[in-house]
Amino acid sequence: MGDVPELFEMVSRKVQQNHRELLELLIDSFKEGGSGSLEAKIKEILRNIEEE
Amino acid sequence: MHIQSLEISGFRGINRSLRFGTDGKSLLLVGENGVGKTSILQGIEWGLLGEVAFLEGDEFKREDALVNLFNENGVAGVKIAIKDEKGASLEMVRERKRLSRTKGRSSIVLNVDGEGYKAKSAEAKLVELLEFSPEEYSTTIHLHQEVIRELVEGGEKARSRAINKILGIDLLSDFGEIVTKQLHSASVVNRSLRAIQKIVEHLSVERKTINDTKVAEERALESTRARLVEKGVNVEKLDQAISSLFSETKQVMDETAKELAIDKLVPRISSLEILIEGADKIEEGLDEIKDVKRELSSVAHKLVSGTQNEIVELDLLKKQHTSYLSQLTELKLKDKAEIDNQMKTVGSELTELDEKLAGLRSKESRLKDLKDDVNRVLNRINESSKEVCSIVENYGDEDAIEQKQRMLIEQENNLKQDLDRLGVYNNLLNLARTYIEATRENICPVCDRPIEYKSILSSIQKKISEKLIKHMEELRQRQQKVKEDKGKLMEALKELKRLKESLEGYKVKLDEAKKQFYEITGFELVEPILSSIESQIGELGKNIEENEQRIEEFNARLNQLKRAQSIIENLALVEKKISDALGVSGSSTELSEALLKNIKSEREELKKLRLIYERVEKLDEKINLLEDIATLFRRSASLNGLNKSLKEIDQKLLIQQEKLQKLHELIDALTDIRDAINSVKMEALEEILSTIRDDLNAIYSRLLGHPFFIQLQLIPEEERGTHIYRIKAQSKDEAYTTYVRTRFSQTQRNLVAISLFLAMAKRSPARLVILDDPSQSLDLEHKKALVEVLHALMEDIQVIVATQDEVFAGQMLKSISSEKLRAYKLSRWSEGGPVLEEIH
Repeated sequence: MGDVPELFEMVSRKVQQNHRELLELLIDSFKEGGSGSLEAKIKEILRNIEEE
Repeated sequence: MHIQSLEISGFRGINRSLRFGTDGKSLLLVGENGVGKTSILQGIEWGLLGEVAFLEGDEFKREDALVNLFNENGVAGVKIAIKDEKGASLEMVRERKRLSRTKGRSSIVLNVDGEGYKAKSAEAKLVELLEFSPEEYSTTIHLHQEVIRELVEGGEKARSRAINKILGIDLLSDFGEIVTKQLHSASVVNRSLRAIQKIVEHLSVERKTINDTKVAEERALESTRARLVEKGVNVEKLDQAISSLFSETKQVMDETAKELAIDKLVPRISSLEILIEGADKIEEGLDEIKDVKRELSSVAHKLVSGTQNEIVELDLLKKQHTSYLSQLTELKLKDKAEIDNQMKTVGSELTELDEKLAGLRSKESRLKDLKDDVNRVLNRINESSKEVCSIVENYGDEDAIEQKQRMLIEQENNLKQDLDRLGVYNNLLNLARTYIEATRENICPVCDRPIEYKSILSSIQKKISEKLIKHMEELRQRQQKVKEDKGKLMEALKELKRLKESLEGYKVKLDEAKKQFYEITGFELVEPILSSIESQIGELGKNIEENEQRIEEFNARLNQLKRAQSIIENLALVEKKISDALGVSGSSTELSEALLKNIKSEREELKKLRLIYERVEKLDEKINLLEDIATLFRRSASLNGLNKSLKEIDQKLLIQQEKLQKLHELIDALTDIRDAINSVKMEALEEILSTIRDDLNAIYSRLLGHPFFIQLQLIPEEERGTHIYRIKAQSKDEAYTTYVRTRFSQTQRNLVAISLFLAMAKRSPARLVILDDPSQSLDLEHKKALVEVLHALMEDIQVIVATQDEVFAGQMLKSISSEKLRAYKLSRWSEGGPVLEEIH
């Protein structure tokens, strides 16, 4: 049975260690506001990179 | 988990409080469309989760669709009492006051085995006890009509979203899709990557351009330095070199200006200065130096050119003077008066000769015309004589012709008389005939016998007419012949007379010609006339030729005299020019000597000026060295600037490359996350699908889905980064497979959706299933089958069904005892809500 937190936990275990922080950040955004929030978070990360 | 009781008020379609006591049994809600059944099911969902699925969108943000519109307190409330599998008792009350939008907070009070919880702690405790998330509620507990519709009617994407929801992987899928979307070439991430790559590319090109300029500048600098070294400049002590070059230049300029007497330049040269404070200052001083040098050069050049021109002009005068003198010597004519006298004599001789020649030519012309006239007259006399001979030969002379004419007139008269006589005969004959015709009935006056007039008439006519007519015809022919002969004789006579007259005229003309000949030549014209005239023309021709030759000789002499005259005039002009140019006067010899002396002196001056001009031009070498030194300064400054620009660009490149690296890291991380999501999703799917496959086919076969395709398969596929599901069905022997959507009816597709949901629900630990109008489009047999399936589920799962289908409801009430099922009927909806009646 697909338990959502468990599925995300499984994803977290599968990604490389150095990508987990980003994954958690994205999952938090997604949980907070769904797809729109996730896209906004990615755009924010991009903006941060571009504005550095 | 079993709901023991449910109480709802002020929620969506429910206003007055409604209470359902189930005691943990399953629940059936029956009622017509719009009476409030779905509101009750949504009330359970809102009570347990604090939210209701599918109430989304802009319109739900504009008004509160949860609190009943007519509730006088403006408060929605749901009270649910639950007993879980472990025997714990739970009672919760959720309330909410009317807001401006559907989404919003509600207050909750929770009591678990006598222990109370409020607000956040109540929410947290509720989640802990219920053991399902809102997503699981939608996929395994509450089968919404919207989900069935998407499964049945939606395209692959809508269907796959619904299945994802049922299978509980919809959030992971949505998450994965967003991540995958970021990796597409048109995504913001890739767009950003490309933009930065473009900036890096642009900066690299700019860097290369600056670096190329720098390398070129370094080479040029080195070349300038080498050139200066080659010219003996100490590049290590450029200040000294500038000072030395400048003072040398200034000195040469000063000397030259004085030598050439250019007074206005002298103060300007003395005020020249050069500041050794970088390229700009040196160049400023150099501009002034170059300007002065240009002026000096221009003046020197003008002087050289002027002197050169003067020498050329004097040389030319010398050449012309010598030439005219030698020509006059050759002609042996030096005296102008003698030349004028000779020209006068030759001129009068020529006039006389011209007049004589004109007279001779006039005579010759007249004789030629006379010859032509005489020739023409003689020809005509000859022609006319021949014509006269011909007429005489044919008709005789004039007397003979006149005699023949008289004879012919006589003949003509005789013939006329004969014809007149015959005419009289003919008239008589006609009279006789007329008479006979008029008196044909009568007796002959001669013999008193009846006249046979016809035969007489015929006989007379035949005898007389034939002879008469023949004779008349002959006479007429003869008359015609006489007439013609007479005409010819008249013509001949006329022509003969005309020719005689012409011959007389020609004779007169010949006499006149003889007179003219005498007038022209003074000689009598003797026979043969034409030869005499021609002989005279020949004589005249010879005279004319002799005259022309003499005229030619005189003309040649005249030309010679004119030429001598012209040379004397030109010589005078040249000598005047020499006098003007040198300011002297004298004889030709004196002028020639003065000219030679002057030319020599000018040549010496020219030599001197050329030396000055070369010295000025040589200043360019020094000026060029000064310019090279300024260039050296300028290039050094430029190199410094280029090095600074390169550093700045390198700094910018570093920043952009760091950004690129971070973007690549982000893309790598997103790729890793996407792959992990896909992997987890596939693993979860495999597990879920394998575990529900048996339940799915058991429920599907009991629901009598399809007569031939009796097994179901849910096959996940990946299409352009998105997982979609193909629902396939197999025949019993597995020999035939089909897509459910292609061959199944709507009812059969509904049954597939219900089977899938119930198979999932069976695996849910909640042990609660809520179905909203599940019998839509089912026939009686299917409804019975669904009741059987639900009845079987009720063994350990609480089933809550809302339906407007009375047949289906009746079948449930008939098949399921009140031990397992409690039923209520909702009816007569008003602003106060529906009326509730317990029926089972």
